[in-house]
Amino acid sequence: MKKILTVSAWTLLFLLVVLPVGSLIRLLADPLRLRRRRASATYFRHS
Amino acid sequence: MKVLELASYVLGLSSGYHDSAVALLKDGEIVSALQEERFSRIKQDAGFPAHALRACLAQAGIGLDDVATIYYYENPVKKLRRIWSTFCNFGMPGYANFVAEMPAWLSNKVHVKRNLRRALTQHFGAAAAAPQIAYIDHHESHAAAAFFPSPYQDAAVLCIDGVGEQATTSAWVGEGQRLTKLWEIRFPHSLGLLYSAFTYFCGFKVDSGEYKLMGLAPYGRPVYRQQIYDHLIDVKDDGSFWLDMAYFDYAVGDAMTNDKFAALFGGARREPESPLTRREFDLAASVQVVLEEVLLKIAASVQRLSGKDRLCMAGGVALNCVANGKLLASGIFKQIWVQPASSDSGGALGAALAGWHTRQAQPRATPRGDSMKASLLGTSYDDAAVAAALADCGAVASRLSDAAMLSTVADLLSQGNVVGWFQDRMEFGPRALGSRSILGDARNTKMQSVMNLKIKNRESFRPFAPVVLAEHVADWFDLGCASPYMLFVVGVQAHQRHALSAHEQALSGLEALKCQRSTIPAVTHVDYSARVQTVGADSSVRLRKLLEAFYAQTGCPVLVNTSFNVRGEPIVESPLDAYRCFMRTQMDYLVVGNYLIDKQQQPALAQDCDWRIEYALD
Repeated sequence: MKKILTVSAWTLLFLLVVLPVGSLIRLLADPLRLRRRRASATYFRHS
Repeated sequence: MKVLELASYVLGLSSGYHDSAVALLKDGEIVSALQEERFSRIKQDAGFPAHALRACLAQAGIGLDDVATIYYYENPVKKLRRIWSTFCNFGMPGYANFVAEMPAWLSNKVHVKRNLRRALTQHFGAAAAAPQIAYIDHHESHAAAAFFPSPYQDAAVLCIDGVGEQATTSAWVGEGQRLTKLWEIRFPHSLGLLYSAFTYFCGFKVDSGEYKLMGLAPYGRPVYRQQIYDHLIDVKDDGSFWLDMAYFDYAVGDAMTNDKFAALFGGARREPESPLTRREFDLAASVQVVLEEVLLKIAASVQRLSGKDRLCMAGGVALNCVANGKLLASGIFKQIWVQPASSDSGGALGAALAGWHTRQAQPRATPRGDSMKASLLGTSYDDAAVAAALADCGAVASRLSDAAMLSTVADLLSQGNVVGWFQDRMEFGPRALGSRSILGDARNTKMQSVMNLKIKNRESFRPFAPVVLAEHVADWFDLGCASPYMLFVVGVQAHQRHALSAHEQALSGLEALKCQRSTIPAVTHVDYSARVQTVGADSSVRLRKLLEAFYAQTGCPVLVNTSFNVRGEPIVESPLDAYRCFMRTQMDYLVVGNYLIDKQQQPALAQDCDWRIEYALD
């Protein structure tokens, strides 16, 4: 029972937080970031 | 009045993932470093290194309350942040692992300080005052392990591994006691994981089979090289790279590669232990070439950016001795020093060194040469302890004088015998460097297959490494510098090579093993390469004396040197481990200290079980 509750709670967290936040990142930030990095001369992240 | 100054001890510790280890510094000097696997007999043991820590403290003659600080080799909070953001980035495919992993991470794995304190209390008692614990970032630990023990006062530092917290590749400048990061490449873009993906796809175990893939590469041709560049990795002129994660599963899945990767390379991955085919040979050759090309580009840009002409390296990829050899030959850097314990066990040493030099701002000593003490940082057994251990085993042994032992063993080796060699302090890191070694005659045409199949019980394609008197290295190998840690693969000298007939040249795959390619065939790989260990005149190890005796008898200053273990077994730690391993294999003689043990004279090993059951195949 406890295991089912735990899995359910983490599933909810995944569906309600991780997926939406991740989708937003992938939709907005990722393509921009990727395009910028691919266009730049390096993938290094300088300190 | 004279004030008595107490020595200051700091401890580095790695645990939780693989290669748990501890390293102890006394006033900045490395006094001891040990891997837990040697004591627990579990290969790459990830557990809390209680045995190693106990041995470490015993060697130094101190208690835990004498240790000021324990430095842990990575930052779990930063790591959790990376894992969380990875799940966000990869969406639905990560669901199963998110639900499976995150609860354990939040309730347990991230609380490393709490867990370490509990483990210390459990193993050393509540009375043992637990030292303070601090985190050092994973790549900083590697960088510190690469630079601080090196013989250089200033150098560029390159760390390449699978992944730490976020970094997978990082470049640094080391000057005196300072380490300054230049740049990094972040997860999931990782050269180490790219190589591990091919290791997995070729049916070998990730985190240990990478050596096998490297050894397999010379049997193939790099026919997939362009495919790798076209689909898997985008490499800029400066060597920075980006992986197309559409082909990999490791970021949020249980496997390293996915169906798309399999489709690109002609079908499903090879099943472990199934026969090797031309595809695996060619895949190994291809990814090895890509790794070398990217490494050379990265090295060139690090040299330009840092302005240094010496390089220090660490991280699992720094154990790719073939790539190291190419880097050395390229001349991009005048000198290269590679940390012999480059994987996560070395992280424990690096964490201690980073803590001492960068957190506590303690200056570096300036020893002649490096400060790794030939990597002989482990346990040792004196004559009385050896005698007692052998008596406990019921071993029939004869004690010889130093001179008699050396000449007898040299003679036995020259007659084609395989000898287990247990001397001095145990090595720290994955290589046996002459303290816990199995030795053989490199000139013997059957030695490679005998050692692989009858002694080590491992795959027939795997090469063996030579150990050579340093003053003779140029006569046998294309190597212009010392290589005391067996970390560079170079060619066998042209005049030692044998010309192959047209028929022999046409042999491919494992058939190529049938040719005798040089005067030292046991250590000459199918591409005429060898992973060389040099032993200098200043070396104090007994192996040096044995090489001298062998050279005096035979005119050959080269022996086969492989680790004292069977497949899947950690390298032996104690005389008891050595005797058991000796008795379970077809080794002919065992030498422990001054004791010579002849297999023919031994009683059957009592209460023995099959090593194949005791040790899972690697």
